[in-house]
Amino acid sequence: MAVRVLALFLFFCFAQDAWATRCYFAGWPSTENNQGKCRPPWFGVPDVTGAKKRFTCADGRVRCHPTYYGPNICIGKPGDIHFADTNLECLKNSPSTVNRYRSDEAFRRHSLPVLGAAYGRYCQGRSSNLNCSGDDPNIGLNACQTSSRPRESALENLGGTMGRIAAVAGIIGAAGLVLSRGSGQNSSPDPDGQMQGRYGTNEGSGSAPESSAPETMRDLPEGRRTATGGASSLPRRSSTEPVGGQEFLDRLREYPQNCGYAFNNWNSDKLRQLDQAIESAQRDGAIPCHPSDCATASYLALIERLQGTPHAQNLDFRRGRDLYRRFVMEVNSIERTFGPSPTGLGLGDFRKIPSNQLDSHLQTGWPAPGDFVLLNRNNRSGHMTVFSHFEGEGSNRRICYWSSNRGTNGMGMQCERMSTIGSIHAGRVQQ
Amino acid sequence: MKLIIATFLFYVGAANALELCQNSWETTDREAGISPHLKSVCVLESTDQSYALEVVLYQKHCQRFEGGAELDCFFVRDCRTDQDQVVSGLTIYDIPEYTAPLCATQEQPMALLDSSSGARADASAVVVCDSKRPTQIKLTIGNRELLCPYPFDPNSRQLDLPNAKE
Repeated sequence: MAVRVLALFLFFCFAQDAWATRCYFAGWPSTENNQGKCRPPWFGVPDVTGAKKRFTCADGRVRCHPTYYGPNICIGKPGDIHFADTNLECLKNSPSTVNRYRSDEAFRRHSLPVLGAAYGRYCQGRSSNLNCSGDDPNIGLNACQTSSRPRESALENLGGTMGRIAAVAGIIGAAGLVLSRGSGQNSSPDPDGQMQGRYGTNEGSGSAPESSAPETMRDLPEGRRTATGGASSLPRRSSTEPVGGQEFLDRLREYPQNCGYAFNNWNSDKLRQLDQAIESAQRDGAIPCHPSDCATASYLALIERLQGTPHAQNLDFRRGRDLYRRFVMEVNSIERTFGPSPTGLGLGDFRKIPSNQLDSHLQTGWPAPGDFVLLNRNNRSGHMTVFSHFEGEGSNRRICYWSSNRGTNGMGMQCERMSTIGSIHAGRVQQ
Repeated sequence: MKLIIATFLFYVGAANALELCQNSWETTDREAGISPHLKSVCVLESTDQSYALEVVLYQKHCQRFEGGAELDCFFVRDCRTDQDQVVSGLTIYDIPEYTAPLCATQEQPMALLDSSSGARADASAVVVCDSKRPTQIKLTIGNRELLCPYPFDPNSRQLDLPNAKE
């Protein structure tokens, strides 16, 4: 009985977040409050790493998301701009975005969830100039008539009362599970033991100062030692809806840039920063600027991708644990992470794709945007990435991806020629 | 006399197989700039001599991820007359940290190259483990097998060629 009462209590505590609707605050992903207003993305996030800086311009005003509005577009001050129509304000200050949204179909399709509703309100106020309901059906219909709620949560998508009943049952069940497991989950012994071998990609470097994961993790509060949230002291995830595809890639573009590509010389400070980034990825928080390599950056993306999926309930995301070792350290990482048991961890599906068979695999949907792709180059260097798209044809075909790259001095988008790649291994999270 | 003929056929077969593999990968290796550092350490040829599996040791120049330290590594690739169809398997770094996971699942030896990687349907290269350590790489084409002792000796080469057995 007590468990049921506590479960109901937890349900009322968490129900709002479970149904939180995603929105965009000045282009940054966030969630709506009780009144349906889009909250600032820094709401409820302790700024222990200075990650909030990316939301503000040098003069302290709110920084519009550069992917959508271009660089150096700033509106209001954080204290004044709360709950305002920030996307509309950003559009008003970015004529180039307005023009691009009207003329560039690819950009319009890509940015519709962010800009569509705001563009509708913008062009309604300036219809004589923009003629937005006129000759171009894509602009007139998709932009001007887009709902002011650009994206709904998965629970709402279940549909009406039945969906809510199912959601309530699920949350009560989850709450009961948390209670029944109690704190023992946090204090249970580490099933994987100490991290084996050297850290990540600092191959063979005598200067790489490996510190075991448990040693680093002892610095964290006990409540943070679980990946399941629930009873954790971490801020709760803003939505139960997992992200995938283009939306997922959009999120990755928000990761801080020019923070350095580190494949060597890892020290305790850098490892601590990585651990903080892993925590942030778990709670859907802002990723702090930190040096990374392709494997650790992709690992953060994997954590984020898994949030909201059933897999997340059973995984320990900490550095050095099973998932980390498989994905970051093992040579057959994609199969070992996404493939079926006993070889794999069973997070989804995977394909090994020789470059000369790429076209036939593309016809079957592999790889798709948001897939985790290990590039096996002909020169026998590897690169772990999140696939975005291909561009060009024949010998000029290039694969474009997000990762931490030397060429981008850390996390960012990059393309390279397929002709130098012998094969790719693609892994996909499936629920 | 038989010994002379056998020896002759062995060398002819060896030359065919090595030539097949060299021709299959010459351009790719050269463009990738890795040719001078490759050592063929094990070759199994199909009975019709149109196909082969080759274990290659790549010395001091493998990078686990871009920018990383340069290590020894090995990999298995296939060799065909149709050079556009050749495929190459996982790159395995020749240090315990990276070879140990090859034996993570004893009941299902890890395939370094098989049909899922684009190799011919009847061909495979799998890791043979003993006490959770790789001890051999088993190459198979049809009903032909070759066990390549691991770790590899860069100064010797294991060959199993149809002609050599006649």
